[in-house]
Amino acid sequence: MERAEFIPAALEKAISDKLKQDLTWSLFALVVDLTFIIDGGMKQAQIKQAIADFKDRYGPEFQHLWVLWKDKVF
Amino acid sequence: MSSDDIDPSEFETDSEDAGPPLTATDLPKVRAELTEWMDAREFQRRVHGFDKRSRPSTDHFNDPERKFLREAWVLAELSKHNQFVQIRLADVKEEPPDGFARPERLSKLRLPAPGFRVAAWAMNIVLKNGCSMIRLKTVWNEPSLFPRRWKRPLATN
Repeated sequence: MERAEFIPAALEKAISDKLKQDLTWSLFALVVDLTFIIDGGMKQAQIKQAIADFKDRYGPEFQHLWVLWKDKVF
Repeated sequence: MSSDDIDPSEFETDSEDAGPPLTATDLPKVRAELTEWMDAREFQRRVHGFDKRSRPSTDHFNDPERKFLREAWVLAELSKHNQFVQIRLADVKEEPPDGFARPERLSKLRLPAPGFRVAAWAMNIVLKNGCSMIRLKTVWNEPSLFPRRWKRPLATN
């Protein structure tokens, strides 16, 4: 895996693994912690966009979807 | 630069004055301590204290017996951004979830009940060297705090 792919790929893998579990996810809020994710040289704006895309795509599946990254919550 | 270049020691914290390293026999006591409801700041303080004592970092990130410490850390970090009155980890019998939270402003969180659980499933994507990359947590309504008429079925694992 190239480092530049880490954040988007990590988000996708994490969410797909979670959604495989037989739970009523709409009752849950999911919090993704990106503290130890390598940014792969992505610019902050790119990372924020990746997080926003992730939230747009999967947010409706959960009661809340939070992403922790660089001491901020998205 | 590849993921092989990542050294877990990059994540070592200054252990000076942190106290003795946590041993396997300390872990149940530590977990029991973190399963007590407490103020979010107190939870953060304790978790970060244990975090510093959980060393070396290779053990902290790779030892499955210390997974609850990693979950507690994420819960503590989350609580810095969300206004929880009290938080705690779940004990082993309660999993999932991995933790619980009582929010301060229900209207802000748009919750239909006076409390909710934070279920913290740690999702560790492991680099080639075994370093933990990501964790996931979940939250759901806390039925035990619902008025009776609001009771609804819990998600089950």
